[in-house]
Formats: sequence, structure tokens, C-alpha cells
Amino acid sequence: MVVSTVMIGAGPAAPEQDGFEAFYRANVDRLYRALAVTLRRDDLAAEAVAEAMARAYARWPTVSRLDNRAGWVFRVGLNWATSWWRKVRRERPPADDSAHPHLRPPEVAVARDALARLPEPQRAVITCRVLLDLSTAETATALRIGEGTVKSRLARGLAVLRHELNSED
Amino acid sequence: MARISEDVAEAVRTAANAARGYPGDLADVHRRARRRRNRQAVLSAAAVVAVLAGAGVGVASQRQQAAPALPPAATDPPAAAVPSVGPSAPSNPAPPAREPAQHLILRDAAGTYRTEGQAVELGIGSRVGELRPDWTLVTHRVVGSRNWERLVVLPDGSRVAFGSHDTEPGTRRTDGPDVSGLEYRLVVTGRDGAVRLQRDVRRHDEPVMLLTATATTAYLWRPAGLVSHDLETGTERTVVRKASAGLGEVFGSLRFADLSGGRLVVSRMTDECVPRVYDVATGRLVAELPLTGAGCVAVTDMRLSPDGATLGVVYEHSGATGPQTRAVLIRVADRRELIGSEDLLVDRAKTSPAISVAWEDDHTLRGAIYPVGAAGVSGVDAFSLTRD
Repeated sequence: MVVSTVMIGAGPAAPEQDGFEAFYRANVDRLYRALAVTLRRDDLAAEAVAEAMARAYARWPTVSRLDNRAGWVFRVGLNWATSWWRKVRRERPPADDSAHPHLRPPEVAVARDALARLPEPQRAVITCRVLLDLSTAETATALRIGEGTVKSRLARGLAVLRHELNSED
Repeated sequence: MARISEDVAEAVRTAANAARGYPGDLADVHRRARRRRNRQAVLSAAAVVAVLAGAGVGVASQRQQAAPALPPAATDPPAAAVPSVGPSAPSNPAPPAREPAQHLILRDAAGTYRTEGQAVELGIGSRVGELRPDWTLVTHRVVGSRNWERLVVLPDGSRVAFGSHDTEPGTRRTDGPDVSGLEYRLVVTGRDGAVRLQRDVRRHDEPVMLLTATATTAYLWRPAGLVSHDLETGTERTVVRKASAGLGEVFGSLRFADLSGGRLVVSRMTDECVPRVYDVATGRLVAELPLTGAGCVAVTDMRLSPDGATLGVVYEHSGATGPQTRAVLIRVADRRELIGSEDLLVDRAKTSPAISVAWEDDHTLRGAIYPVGAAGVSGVDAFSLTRD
């Protein structure tokens, strides 16, 4: 009793692993910085980038076809970090100054304090838009949220940042 | 649309540039990738399904809203009180004529999905999706454990959930195995959603994870191995020691595991394509079921049939045109592949699809393929494999 069959053909030819190293070298530092700002922990960001890059490498034939590979890595790293944090018994990463020992100069402290006012989802959106130069649509794809959500988070986050930055003047 | 003023952008860049340079290197990525060995199970998007031939076996498939629902080729009635991993029970009180032996829960689903009727949002607010035997999608709310990590739906519709719970939210603490204010909760709810039991099963400085459960027993992974946890009394007993299951360490060594019909199947990180089946009563190895001959490079999901006689596996292999995915049913007794799909799928989408499988009964394995985190409304593709 063979029931039925539906065949949806084979996929396109798989790209080679070629290109990963170039992608890695071109993007790893900015992705790390973007995650460091979003997560507010350099060590966690470094681990997250390494994990996300390893996954990109393992699945490079797929990832290399994406329009926004950096956004994919950012999202995977962010998900890994938040999941990791949850498993390590904290529902949210701490806003701990000691986690950012390099954030000492006044202008850095101002920026840090302003960003610290934002919930992580808003920081992630602003990070994607400002540091990764992603469009609204690309940010939505990278973070797996709707474009409307990107816009609302961006608007709210920018409002807070403007207020915080101006109040420091 | 909000415009990003230069001063705000500059502040964000300042914060980012203050971080020291990335401390890792490419070699570390290679090491991690080797360790993971394609651990992140996935396929590519869209659709699928497959083939098959041969008397007495069949593969059925369905794509949401694309074809009339195919009735599952069920045969025997579902076994009662057989351990089943995964799924969650329907919160809607109108059950279909037949409850599946194992509920097909959409693991890791996140986004908005539709099969028939209204679209549902999953992955938010502890809502879990289940693909029912009639191919409809229902949702369930997990209560009592905010960060639930594992959910088992029992044949009577009650649920056993497991997850961590922060009892001191917002309080700064030092993370680590000794962190205070953390519970690992087992939460049993009835079909009506009422909490029947909530118990902290955390032990100091020990990880723990739920594997599966029956109406009376939860099976937990602890560092020593698999333990049975009496839901009534909380009494625990080691049923399979880690060494007996071929594990140097439990946590960090397991890729997949399932317990059903008195048998435990384990897929290890180091050789996930060689599932091993153990007899729970004796702790002895029953069979090794290597998929390596089929070119397996990663296992996507696997479940033992309710009677423990057949293993359903979805795995990735290296096809001529890139990664491909197959589903197979393997008889444990003689390691014979009873039925297998051809390469399922393949549209490379921007998001990673996931696959979950569950046994309808001892003969039919159902599977669901769905994107994770896609924008808009996503469909859920389904397939089934039926053996004699």
C-alpha cells in the first residue's frame, strides 16, 4: 500500500567551502563588536561569535547563499548567547561595569550608559542598523522579527538614546 | 520611519569601538566546527518528501494547504503509558477520535505558522505547537516553568514540563553552578492545564535534564546517568549508568536520546550517526544502528517506536548537490532498513528549517518540517513513513 509520493527536486549545486575565510576575516571583528554592544559583555560576545562562525562554517554551502550572511551570524550568535545565559541560570545578562573594563573614557561611558538604558531587543535592532549597516528588512530577517517591530524598536530605542545623550550635555 | 541621527550613531560606534579587538582566530572556528560536526540539525526550507516503494510500505506526504489531508496509516491502537518524548497536549478539550502514541511537537518553532484555519504564533509566551494526526496545528501553553526546555505530553493529554526558574529575578548574582535562587522544575499539568505537581529537582552543582516521562515516572539525565524519578514521592533510582550507555560524560556528550518500550536510544556527539539502543532493564546494548553506510553526517531527529522495536531517524547526508535529508525506519532486531524516503527537500531559504518526528503508533512515523524564525506566516510541511 504505497500511499503517495511528492518529489520536490534536488537543490542547486552546493557552493564550496571557498569563501568562508574571506567572509570571516571581513566580518568577524565588527560582528564581535556588535554583539559586545548588544550583550554588554565582551567575553560572552567573543564566545558567541566563535560559536556562530563555527556554525556558519559547518553549513557554509547553505549560509553562503544567503543575502545577508553577517546578519545570519549575528542572529545565531545572539541566540546562542541568550540561550547560554539562560542555561547558566540568568534570565538576563548583567549590566555589570566590570564586564566592560575598557569602557573608561568619558565619551565611552556616556555611550555605554545610554545604551544600558535600552532593553536588549532594542539594542540589537540599533546595533544591526548602525554597526552592521543593515536595512530595516535585513534587520527583520536577521533578528527574525517583523519589519514593523524593527521600526518600533528602533524608534523607541533612538528616543531613549537621544534623551540620554542630550541629558549628558 | 525613525532616522538615525549622526550623534546617536556615533555614540553607538564609540561604544563598539571601545571594545578590544576580537580575541579569537580562524583556527578556533575550525576546531569548534569539527567538534560540533554539523550538530545544528537542519535542512533547508520549504518542502519535501519522498518516495518509496515496495510492497507493504509507504510514504505519505502533505504540504500544508496544498493537498487534501492523508489519513495516517495507523494500525494498532496507541500503547498506553509508554514513555514518549517531546510533544505537548492539546489545550483544546475536543480530542480527535484517536490520540497519537507520541505527540508531534514542533521543537524550536518560532514565528507564525498556519496549516489550516487561523495562523498561530509559536515560541512566544511559552506557547508550543503540535501537528495533530489530522495535520491541523494546535497550540499549548506551558505553565509553571518560565524557561521550559523540555515537554512531554502523555497519552491522556497531561503534560510534564521541565525548565529552569529564577526565584530571584532582577537580583544580581554571580553565575555558576552554585548560583542562588535557581530551581530546575518538573511541572505536571493535567489536560485541563491545572498544575498537579511542581517540584524542584535541582541538586547542588549538578546539571539535570528531562528525557521523557510516563504518568508515574520522569526520566532524568543526571551526571551519573539516566535516573527514574517517581513523580509521587520524588524517589530516584539510576536505571542506566553513563558508562553503560557508552557516555564518558552525560552532559555535552549526548546528541539525541529517546526512551520508549523499555529501550533507550542514544546518539553521541562523537558519532551521532551511530545510534545505539540499550535495554533499560538490563542496561545492555541491544544494537548499534550505523547510518554511516548511508553517508550520514548529522542526525536531525530520532524516535523509538512505542514498542521500542523500530527506530525512526531523520538524518543529513552529503548528496551530489550538497546536504540532503532522508527519513528512515530501522528495525532494531536485525538493523534492517524497513523503509526510507528519498532525499526530502530542498529549497534553500534564508531561515533554517527544523524537523521533528513522532510515532503515530508502532507502524507510522510522522514528521513536520518548518522554518524557524521566518518573517510572515510560514507553512508546515509534513510527511509520514509507514511500515508493515
